Amino acid sequence: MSETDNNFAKKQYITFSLGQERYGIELKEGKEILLPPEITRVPHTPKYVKGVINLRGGVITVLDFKDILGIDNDAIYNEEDKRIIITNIAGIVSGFMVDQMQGILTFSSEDIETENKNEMNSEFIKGIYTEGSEVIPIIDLKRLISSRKEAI
Amino acid sequence: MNKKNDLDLENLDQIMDLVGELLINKSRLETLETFREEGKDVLSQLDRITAELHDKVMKVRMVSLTNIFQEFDEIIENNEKEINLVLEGQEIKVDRAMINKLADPLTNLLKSLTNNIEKEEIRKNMGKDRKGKVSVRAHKTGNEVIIEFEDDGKQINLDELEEKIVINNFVSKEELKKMSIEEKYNLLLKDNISAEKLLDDIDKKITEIKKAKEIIERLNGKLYLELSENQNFKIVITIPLKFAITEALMVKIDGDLFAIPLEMVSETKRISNSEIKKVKNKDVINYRENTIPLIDSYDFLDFKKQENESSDSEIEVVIVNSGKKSAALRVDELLNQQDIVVKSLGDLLSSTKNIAGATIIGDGEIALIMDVRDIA
Repeated sequence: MSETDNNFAKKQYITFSLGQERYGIELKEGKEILLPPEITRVPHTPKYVKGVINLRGGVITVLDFKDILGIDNDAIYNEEDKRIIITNIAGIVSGFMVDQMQGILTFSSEDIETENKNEMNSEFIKGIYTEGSEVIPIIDLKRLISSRKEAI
Repeated sequence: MNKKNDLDLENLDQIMDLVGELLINKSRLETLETFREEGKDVLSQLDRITAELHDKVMKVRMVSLTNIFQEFDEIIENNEKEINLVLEGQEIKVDRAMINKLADPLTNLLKSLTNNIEKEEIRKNMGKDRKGKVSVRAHKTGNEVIIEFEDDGKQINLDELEEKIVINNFVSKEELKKMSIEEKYNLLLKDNISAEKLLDDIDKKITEIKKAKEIIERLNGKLYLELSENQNFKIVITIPLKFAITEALMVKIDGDLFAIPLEMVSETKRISNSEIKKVKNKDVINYRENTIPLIDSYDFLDFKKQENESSDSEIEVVIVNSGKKSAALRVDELLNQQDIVVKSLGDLLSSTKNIAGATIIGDGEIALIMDVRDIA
């Protein structure tokens, strides 16, 4: 049985901090997590494009989640905590800057609230997972990547 | 394309990257003093081996257009109308990755061409051949592959097109008068002009052409309409042949490294500030008895310049040429010339203005490759 056939299947999520908030993406969308290497800026690109990095001889675009999702750029984390999550969405490999890694969570997709996601005010959130008092929006990477592909 | 092919391609990409790194390290060895004296033989051997390796890997990556064209026969056979298909240039080879990306848009284009052929009845009444004709011709020039699609079905009615263009205010009457037939045709492919408003007869075909255009442009290719010998219009697609390795001039701008492909460079010069003149409030210089624009790379790349830096009495410029036009590009520092491995900026950034790609140099640093085609 494939994952999509079963709504109750448990999935793993990578979670991380962006400013004051905690967000997640599906673990299988991530390829690896890097200490940020030197980033080469690319002219004539929107602000959320941080630039490109050399990943073992390949040139990878790095984007900033905070700029895309409109999250305040609070400097509450150290530069050393910053990481780049390398993702592979439909063959497009790219990197995303996050403020700090927060570990991996496992829950079934029915635990994700999709009804009130509009309150998040972002088209790139596919649902919200609540753990105790903490709210963790799950980012819709597929949508985000395909919309950026159009925009840039 | 099946999964296995994709996996092979991934491996090939990695081998290609490794060969690239090998080349870079070879050129680093060449700059070392000790090797110049004693290691000359080893170096020339290494040079030959890496060059051959690169050549072989490139050849493995290339596959012929047959991979796409073979499907065309099937499409024609499955069509209820009788159509004569003319194919030329199937043997031309293109990079595998390119073939994978071209397969869908080209196949859809062919389908829309076959749909554009009228039914036999109508053709007979119009005095056309009973059998429709669709041709796909590919040929190769120095650095690109050109593929032309043409059918003898419904054509653009120029009078109708002109009338509708003016009614919809896309272009004024005066402007329209100055345009060639081909320029008028190509208005149909503009983003902000909808083909349905202009021509209801062949709007489906135009919509399909527009879709293909978008994909082709993302691959750094071009798509436009041209008049054919039969006074029909044909679709012309040009695709750059990926020369994975090219010679480039390295320059420094605002602390960052950039590469300018040598094929675009005429020469490099130091000029004194007094040689800079103003024409219509723009900087120009004299070059080989011509007045050419002087473009600041900071403007070209949208970088911010510190105001107090312009105290130098001399500036360094690269004379670049794009087609017939030349321009002087002012840079902070001229560096060396070297072989670079051209890499794409990826799906997200591939259409970035004035940037053609990226390359990785000796110490792992990334240098962006400037696209100076639109400079003048």
